[in-house]
Amino acid sequence: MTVLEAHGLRVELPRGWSGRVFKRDAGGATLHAGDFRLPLEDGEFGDRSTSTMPAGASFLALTEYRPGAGLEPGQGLFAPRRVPTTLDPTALSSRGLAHPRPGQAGTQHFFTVAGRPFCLYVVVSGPRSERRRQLAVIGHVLRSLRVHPAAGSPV
Amino acid sequence: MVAIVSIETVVLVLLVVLVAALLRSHAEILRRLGPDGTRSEREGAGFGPDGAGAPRVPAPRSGLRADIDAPELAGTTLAGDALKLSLGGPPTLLAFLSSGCTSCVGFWEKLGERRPVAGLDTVIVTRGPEREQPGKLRRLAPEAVPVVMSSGAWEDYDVPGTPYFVLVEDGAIRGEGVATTWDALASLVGDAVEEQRGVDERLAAVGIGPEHPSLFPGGRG
Repeated sequence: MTVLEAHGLRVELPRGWSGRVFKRDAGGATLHAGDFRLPLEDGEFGDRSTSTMPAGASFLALTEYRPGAGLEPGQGLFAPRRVPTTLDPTALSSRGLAHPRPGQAGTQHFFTVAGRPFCLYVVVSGPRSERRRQLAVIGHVLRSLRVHPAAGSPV
Repeated sequence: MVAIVSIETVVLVLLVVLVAALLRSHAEILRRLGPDGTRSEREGAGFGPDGAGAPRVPAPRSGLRADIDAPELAGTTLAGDALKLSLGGPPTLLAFLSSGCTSCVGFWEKLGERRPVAGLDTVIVTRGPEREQPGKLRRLAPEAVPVVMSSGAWEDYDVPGTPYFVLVEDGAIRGEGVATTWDALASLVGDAVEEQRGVDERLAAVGIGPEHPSLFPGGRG
Protein backbone atom coordinates (compact mmCIF):
# COMPACT_ATOMS: atom_id res chain seq x y z
CA MET A 1 0.00 0.00 0.00
CA THR A 2 1.17 3.50 -0.78
CA VAL A 3 -0.33 6.51 0.95
CA LEU A 4 -1.17 9.62 -1.07
CA GLU A 5 -1.92 12.71 0.98
CA ALA A 6 -2.42 16.31 -0.10
CA HIS A 7 -4.98 19.12 0.03
CA GLY A 8 -6.88 17.52 2.91
CA LEU A 9 -7.34 14.12 1.22
CA ARG A 10 -5.60 10.91 2.25
CA VAL A 11 -5.94 7.59 0.45
CA GLU A 12 -4.11 4.25 0.31
CA LEU A 13 -3.44 2.78 -3.11
CA PRO A 14 -2.75 -0.92 -3.70
CA ARG A 15 0.41 -2.06 -5.47
CA GLY A 16 0.15 -1.56 -9.22
CA TRP A 17 -2.18 1.42 -8.88
CA SER A 18 -1.17 4.93 -9.79
CA GLY A 19 -2.80 8.12 -8.63
CA ARG A 20 -2.54 11.74 -7.73
CA VAL A 21 -4.13 14.32 -5.49
CA PHE A 22 -4.02 17.74 -7.10
CA LYS A 23 -5.61 21.14 -6.91
CA ARG A 24 -5.80 23.92 -9.43
CA ASP A 25 -5.51 27.58 -8.45
CA ALA A 26 -9.20 28.41 -8.11
CA GLY A 27 -10.56 24.89 -7.73
CA GLY A 28 -11.04 22.26 -5.06
CA ALA A 29 -9.01 19.14 -4.48
CA THR A 30 -9.19 16.21 -6.90
CA LEU A 31 -8.09 12.61 -6.45
CA HIS A 32 -7.45 10.36 -9.45
CA ALA A 33 -6.63 6.68 -9.02
CA GLY A 34 -6.51 3.72 -11.36
CA ASP A 35 -4.97 0.29 -11.77
CA PHE A 36 -3.17 1.39 -14.94
CA ARG A 37 -0.66 4.04 -15.92
CA LEU A 38 -2.34 7.42 -15.55
CA PRO A 39 -1.18 10.33 -17.70
CA LEU A 40 0.67 12.96 -15.70
CA GLU A 41 -1.69 15.77 -16.73
CA ASP A 42 -5.45 15.48 -16.89
CA GLY A 43 -8.75 17.23 -16.28
CA GLU A 44 -10.84 16.79 -13.13
CA PHE A 45 -12.91 13.97 -14.61
CA GLY A 46 -9.97 12.13 -16.13
CA ASP A 47 -10.68 12.58 -19.82
CA ARG A 48 -7.12 11.62 -20.78
CA SER A 49 -6.90 8.83 -18.21
CA THR A 50 -10.10 7.15 -19.33
CA SER A 51 -9.04 7.48 -22.96
CA THR A 52 -6.00 5.29 -22.23
CA MET A 53 -7.75 2.67 -20.05
CA PRO A 54 -6.94 -0.91 -21.06
CA ALA A 55 -9.68 -3.55 -21.00
CA GLY A 56 -10.47 -4.70 -17.47
CA ALA A 57 -9.14 -1.52 -15.88
CA SER A 58 -10.67 0.63 -13.14
CA PHE A 59 -10.53 4.38 -12.60
CA LEU A 60 -11.96 6.75 -10.02
CA ALA A 61 -12.03 10.52 -9.75
CA LEU A 62 -13.08 12.32 -6.61
CA THR A 63 -13.43 16.01 -7.22
CA GLU A 64 -14.39 18.76 -4.80
CA TYR A 65 -16.88 21.46 -5.67
CA ARG A 66 -16.73 25.05 -4.46
CA PRO A 67 -19.77 26.15 -2.45
CA GLY A 68 -21.65 29.15 -3.77
CA ALA A 69 -23.93 30.06 -6.67
CA GLY A 70 -26.67 27.87 -5.20
CA LEU A 71 -24.37 24.99 -4.21
CA GLU A 72 -24.60 24.39 -0.46
CA PRO A 73 -22.64 21.57 1.22
CA GLY A 74 -24.94 18.90 2.63
CA GLN A 75 -27.95 20.17 0.70
CA GLY A 76 -29.79 19.03 -2.40
CA LEU A 77 -27.62 16.94 -4.72
CA PHE A 78 -24.87 16.96 -2.09
CA ALA A 79 -27.11 15.89 0.82
CA PRO A 80 -25.56 12.40 1.40
CA ARG A 81 -23.02 12.52 4.25
CA ARG A 82 -20.90 9.46 3.50
CA VAL A 83 -18.38 8.36 0.91
CA PRO A 84 -20.11 5.63 -1.11
CA THR A 85 -17.87 2.60 -0.64
CA THR A 86 -20.24 -0.18 -1.73
CA LEU A 87 -21.00 0.45 -5.36
CA ASP A 88 -23.80 -1.30 -7.23
CA PRO A 89 -22.64 -2.98 -10.48
CA THR A 90 -26.09 -2.45 -12.00
CA ALA A 91 -25.65 1.32 -11.58
CA LEU A 92 -22.79 1.28 -14.10
CA SER A 93 -23.82 2.34 -17.59
CA SER A 94 -22.59 4.24 -20.60
CA ARG A 95 -24.98 7.03 -19.61
CA GLY A 96 -22.94 7.54 -16.44
CA LEU A 97 -19.82 8.44 -18.42
CA ALA A 98 -18.62 12.02 -18.66
CA HIS A 99 -16.80 11.01 -21.84
CA PRO A 100 -18.64 8.07 -23.47
CA ARG A 101 -16.37 5.42 -24.97
CA PRO A 102 -17.04 1.89 -26.26
CA GLY A 103 -16.46 -0.82 -23.67
CA GLN A 104 -16.63 1.56 -20.73
CA ALA A 105 -19.30 2.09 -18.09
CA GLY A 106 -19.48 4.65 -15.33
CA THR A 107 -21.39 6.04 -12.41
CA GLN A 108 -21.43 9.27 -10.43
CA HIS A 109 -22.29 9.99 -6.80
CA PHE A 110 -22.55 13.35 -5.06
CA PHE A 111 -22.06 13.77 -1.31
CA THR A 112 -20.60 16.00 1.42
CA VAL A 113 -17.88 14.91 3.85
CA ALA A 114 -16.13 17.13 6.43
CA GLY A 115 -18.12 20.06 5.09
CA ARG A 116 -16.70 19.58 1.61
CA PRO A 117 -18.99 18.75 -1.35
CA PHE A 118 -17.65 16.06 -3.70
CA CYS A 119 -18.50 14.11 -6.82
CA LEU A 120 -17.21 10.54 -7.06
CA TYR A 121 -16.88 9.42 -10.66
CA VAL A 122 -16.08 5.75 -11.33
CA VAL A 123 -15.24 4.22 -14.71
CA VAL A 124 -14.59 0.55 -15.50
CA SER A 125 -13.72 -1.06 -18.81
CA GLY A 126 -13.97 -4.60 -20.12
CA PRO A 127 -16.54 -7.35 -19.81
CA ARG A 128 -19.62 -7.02 -17.59
CA SER A 129 -18.58 -10.18 -15.70
CA GLU A 130 -15.55 -8.33 -14.31
CA ARG A 131 -17.48 -5.45 -12.82
CA ARG A 132 -18.22 -6.91 -9.40
CA ARG A 133 -14.50 -7.61 -8.86
CA GLN A 134 -13.51 -4.17 -10.16
CA LEU A 135 -15.98 -2.42 -7.86
CA ALA A 136 -14.79 -4.47 -4.89
CA VAL A 137 -11.25 -3.16 -5.36
CA ILE A 138 -12.50 0.40 -5.89
CA GLY A 139 -14.55 0.05 -2.69
CA HIS A 140 -11.42 -1.08 -0.86
CA VAL A 141 -9.59 2.05 -2.04
CA LEU A 142 -12.52 4.30 -1.08
CA ARG A 143 -12.71 2.81 2.41
CA SER A 144 -9.14 4.02 3.00
CA LEU A 145 -10.12 7.58 2.04
CA ARG A 146 -9.91 10.24 4.76
CA VAL A 147 -11.19 13.77 4.19
CA HIS A 148 -10.08 16.63 6.42
CA PRO A 149 -12.10 19.82 6.73
CA ALA A 150 -10.89 22.52 4.37
CA ALA A 151 -9.42 25.60 6.04
CA GLY A 152 -12.27 27.92 6.99
CA SER A 153 -15.00 25.57 5.81
CA PRO A 154 -17.95 24.57 8.02
CA VAL A 155 -17.87 20.96 9.22
CA MET B 1 81.22 24.59 1.32
CA VAL B 2 79.06 25.54 4.29
CA ALA B 3 76.86 27.61 1.95
CA ILE B 4 76.31 24.67 -0.40
CA VAL B 5 75.35 22.36 2.47
CA SER B 6 72.95 25.00 3.82
CA ILE B 7 71.28 25.44 0.42
CA GLU B 8 70.95 21.65 0.01
CA THR B 9 69.39 21.40 3.49
CA VAL B 10 66.84 24.12 2.70
CA VAL B 11 65.96 22.44 -0.64
CA LEU B 12 65.55 19.10 1.13
CA VAL B 13 63.23 20.59 3.74
CA LEU B 14 61.14 22.24 1.00
CA LEU B 15 60.87 18.93 -0.86
CA VAL B 16 59.72 17.14 2.30
CA VAL B 17 57.05 19.81 2.89
CA LEU B 18 55.91 19.54 -0.76
CA VAL B 19 55.62 15.73 -0.62
CA ALA B 20 53.69 15.92 2.66
CA ALA B 21 51.24 18.41 1.12
CA LEU B 22 50.76 16.19 -1.93
CA LEU B 23 50.10 13.13 0.24
CA ARG B 24 47.57 15.06 2.30
CA SER B 25 45.79 16.31 -0.83
CA HIS B 26 45.72 12.78 -2.27
CA ALA B 27 44.27 11.42 0.99
CA GLU B 28 41.52 14.07 0.89
CA ILE B 29 40.59 13.12 -2.69
CA LEU B 30 40.46 9.42 -1.75
CA ARG B 31 38.29 10.23 1.27
CA ARG B 32 35.81 12.12 -0.90
CA LEU B 33 35.66 9.37 -3.52
CA GLY B 34 35.57 6.67 -0.88
CA PRO B 35 33.11 3.74 -0.61
CA ASP B 36 29.55 3.88 0.82
CA GLY B 37 30.83 3.77 4.37
CA THR B 38 32.10 7.32 4.09
CA ARG B 39 29.02 8.73 2.34
CA SER B 40 27.14 9.87 5.40
CA GLU B 41 30.24 11.60 6.62
CA ARG B 42 30.48 13.42 3.31
CA GLU B 43 26.84 14.44 3.43
CA GLY B 44 27.29 15.70 6.95
CA ALA B 45 30.21 17.74 5.78
CA GLY B 46 28.09 19.38 3.10
CA PHE B 47 28.74 17.24 0.04
CA GLY B 48 25.22 15.84 -0.21
CA PRO B 49 22.28 17.47 -1.98
CA ASP B 50 22.28 20.20 0.64
CA GLY B 51 25.89 21.12 0.09
CA ALA B 52 25.62 23.91 -2.45
CA GLY B 53 28.25 24.05 -5.12
CA ALA B 54 30.39 21.11 -4.07
CA PRO B 55 30.75 18.44 -6.76
CA ARG B 56 29.54 15.07 -5.65
CA VAL B 57 30.73 11.95 -7.38
CA PRO B 58 28.63 8.86 -6.63
CA ALA B 59 30.53 5.92 -5.26
CA PRO B 60 30.51 3.01 -7.71
CA ARG B 61 27.97 0.27 -7.00
CA SER B 62 29.37 -3.20 -6.53
CA GLY B 63 26.91 -4.75 -8.99
CA LEU B 64 24.25 -3.16 -11.18
CA ARG B 65 20.73 -4.51 -10.98
CA ALA B 66 18.85 -5.47 -14.10
CA ASP B 67 15.41 -6.92 -14.75
CA ILE B 68 14.31 -6.82 -11.14
CA ASP B 69 10.99 -5.35 -10.01
CA ALA B 70 11.05 -1.58 -9.93
CA PRO B 71 10.02 -0.20 -6.52
CA GLU B 72 6.87 1.90 -6.59
CA LEU B 73 7.46 5.62 -6.87
CA ALA B 74 5.39 8.05 -4.83
CA GLY B 75 6.04 11.56 -3.61
CA THR B 76 4.99 15.16 -3.91
CA THR B 77 5.19 17.53 -6.84
CA LEU B 78 6.61 21.02 -6.72
CA ALA B 79 3.02 22.33 -6.59
CA GLY B 80 2.37 20.38 -3.39
CA ASP B 81 0.28 17.67 -5.07
CA ALA B 82 0.68 14.00 -4.13
CA LEU B 83 1.61 11.55 -6.88
CA LYS B 84 2.08 7.82 -7.27
CA LEU B 85 3.43 6.68 -10.61
CA SER B 86 2.78 3.39 -12.30
CA LEU B 87 5.99 2.17 -13.88
CA GLY B 88 4.35 -0.54 -15.96
CA GLY B 89 4.26 -0.15 -19.73
CA PRO B 90 6.66 1.83 -21.93
CA PRO B 91 10.21 2.72 -20.87
CA THR B 92 10.56 5.54 -18.36
CA LEU B 93 13.80 7.22 -17.36
CA LEU B 94 14.06 8.17 -13.70
CA ALA B 95 16.62 10.95 -13.31
CA PHE B 96 17.74 11.30 -9.68
CA LEU B 97 19.00 14.87 -9.43
CA SER B 98 19.59 17.37 -6.68
CA SER B 99 19.70 21.15 -6.59
CA GLY B 100 23.12 21.33 -4.98
CA CYS B 101 25.17 19.09 -7.28
CA THR B 102 27.20 20.82 -9.95
CA SER B 103 27.16 17.76 -12.21
CA CYS B 104 23.34 17.95 -12.26
CA VAL B 105 23.14 21.48 -13.65
CA GLY B 106 23.46 20.39 -17.29
CA PHE B 107 20.78 17.71 -16.86
CA TRP B 108 18.24 20.12 -15.36
CA GLU B 109 18.65 22.22 -18.50
CA LYS B 110 18.97 19.54 -21.17
CA LEU B 111 16.17 17.25 -19.99
CA GLY B 112 13.79 20.12 -20.71
CA GLU B 113 15.04 20.40 -24.25
CA ARG B 114 15.52 16.82 -25.41
CA ARG B 115 15.48 13.14 -24.48
CA PRO B 116 18.46 10.76 -24.46
CA VAL B 117 16.30 8.46 -26.63
CA ALA B 118 13.47 9.91 -28.74
CA GLY B 119 10.03 9.67 -27.12
CA LEU B 120 11.33 8.36 -23.80
CA ASP B 121 9.14 9.35 -20.83
CA THR B 122 11.29 11.05 -18.22
CA VAL B 123 10.67 11.85 -14.57
CA ILE B 124 13.07 13.80 -12.37
CA VAL B 125 13.21 12.48 -8.80
CA THR B 126 14.66 14.63 -6.04
CA ARG B 127 14.86 14.08 -2.33
CA GLY B 128 11.83 15.11 -0.30
CA PRO B 129 10.99 18.55 1.11
CA GLU B 130 13.01 17.78 4.26
CA ARG B 131 16.19 17.80 2.12
CA GLU B 132 15.32 20.03 -0.83
CA GLN B 133 13.66 23.44 -1.12
CA PRO B 134 10.71 23.38 -3.55
CA GLY B 135 11.32 27.04 -4.44
CA LYS B 136 14.89 26.30 -5.50
CA LEU B 137 13.76 23.26 -7.49
CA ARG B 138 11.03 25.29 -9.22
CA ARG B 139 13.72 27.58 -10.63
CA LEU B 140 15.64 24.58 -11.97
CA ALA B 141 12.79 22.33 -13.13
CA PRO B 142 12.09 22.20 -16.84
CA GLU B 143 8.42 22.73 -17.73
CA ALA B 144 8.12 19.62 -19.85
CA VAL B 145 9.43 17.14 -17.29
CA PRO B 146 7.55 16.14 -14.14
CA VAL B 147 9.46 16.42 -10.87
CA VAL B 148 8.66 14.13 -7.94
CA MET B 149 10.13 14.84 -4.50
CA SER B 150 10.61 11.57 -2.64
CA SER B 151 13.37 10.63 -0.23
CA GLY B 152 11.70 7.21 0.00
CA ALA B 153 12.35 6.62 -3.69
CA TRP B 154 16.04 7.39 -3.17
CA GLU B 155 16.17 4.74 -0.48
CA ASP B 156 14.08 2.22 -2.43
CA TYR B 157 16.27 2.62 -5.54
CA ASP B 158 19.43 2.69 -3.42
CA VAL B 159 20.69 5.83 -5.13
CA PRO B 160 24.40 6.26 -4.34
CA GLY B 161 24.54 9.95 -5.31
CA THR B 162 23.71 12.40 -8.04
CA PRO B 163 23.30 12.45 -10.94
CA TYR B 164 21.98 8.87 -11.14
CA PHE B 165 19.67 7.34 -13.74
CA VAL B 166 17.39 4.30 -13.76
CA LEU B 167 15.57 2.98 -16.83
CA VAL B 168 12.30 1.21 -16.00
CA GLU B 169 10.05 -0.72 -18.38
CA ASP B 170 7.06 -2.98 -17.73
CA GLY B 171 7.58 -2.55 -14.00
CA ALA B 172 11.20 -3.81 -14.06
CA ILE B 173 14.56 -2.07 -13.86
CA ARG B 174 16.23 -2.44 -17.28
CA GLY B 175 19.40 -0.56 -16.46
CA GLU B 176 20.89 2.04 -14.17
CA GLY B 177 24.05 3.95 -13.57
CA VAL B 178 25.96 7.16 -13.14
CA ALA B 179 26.30 9.64 -15.99
CA THR B 180 27.98 12.98 -15.57
CA THR B 181 27.58 14.18 -19.17
CA TRP B 182 24.71 14.16 -21.64
CA ASP B 183 26.64 11.89 -24.01
CA ALA B 184 27.27 9.40 -21.21
CA LEU B 185 23.56 9.37 -20.37
CA ALA B 186 22.55 8.91 -24.01
CA SER B 187 24.99 6.00 -24.26
CA LEU B 188 23.76 4.45 -21.00
CA VAL B 189 20.10 4.64 -22.01
CA GLY B 190 20.75 3.69 -25.62
CA ASP B 191 22.63 0.56 -24.53
CA ALA B 192 19.82 -0.48 -22.16
CA VAL B 193 17.13 0.06 -24.81
CA GLU B 194 19.16 -1.78 -27.46
CA GLU B 195 19.82 -4.66 -25.09
CA GLN B 196 16.12 -5.03 -24.34
CA ARG B 197 15.29 -4.81 -28.04
CA GLY B 198 17.84 -7.58 -28.67
CA VAL B 199 16.15 -9.79 -26.07
CA ASP B 200 12.74 -9.17 -27.67
CA GLU B 201 14.11 -9.97 -31.13
CA ARG B 202 15.78 -13.18 -29.96
CA LEU B 203 12.54 -14.31 -28.30
CA ALA B 204 10.56 -13.41 -31.43
CA ALA B 205 13.00 -15.44 -33.55
CA VAL B 206 12.06 -18.58 -31.63
CA GLY B 207 8.35 -17.78 -31.77
CA ILE B 208 7.87 -16.22 -28.33
CA GLY B 209 5.90 -13.00 -28.51
CA PRO B 210 4.49 -10.71 -25.81
CA GLU B 211 1.41 -12.92 -25.25
CA HIS B 212 3.21 -16.29 -25.34
CA PRO B 213 1.97 -18.62 -22.51
CA SER B 214 5.56 -19.39 -21.43
CA LEU B 215 5.87 -15.78 -20.24
CA PHE B 216 3.05 -16.33 -17.75
CA PRO B 217 3.99 -19.48 -15.84
CA GLY B 218 1.40 -18.78 -13.17
CA GLY B 219 -1.32 -18.09 -15.72
CA ARG B 220 -2.67 -14.66 -16.55
CA GLY B 221 -4.27 -13.24 -13.48
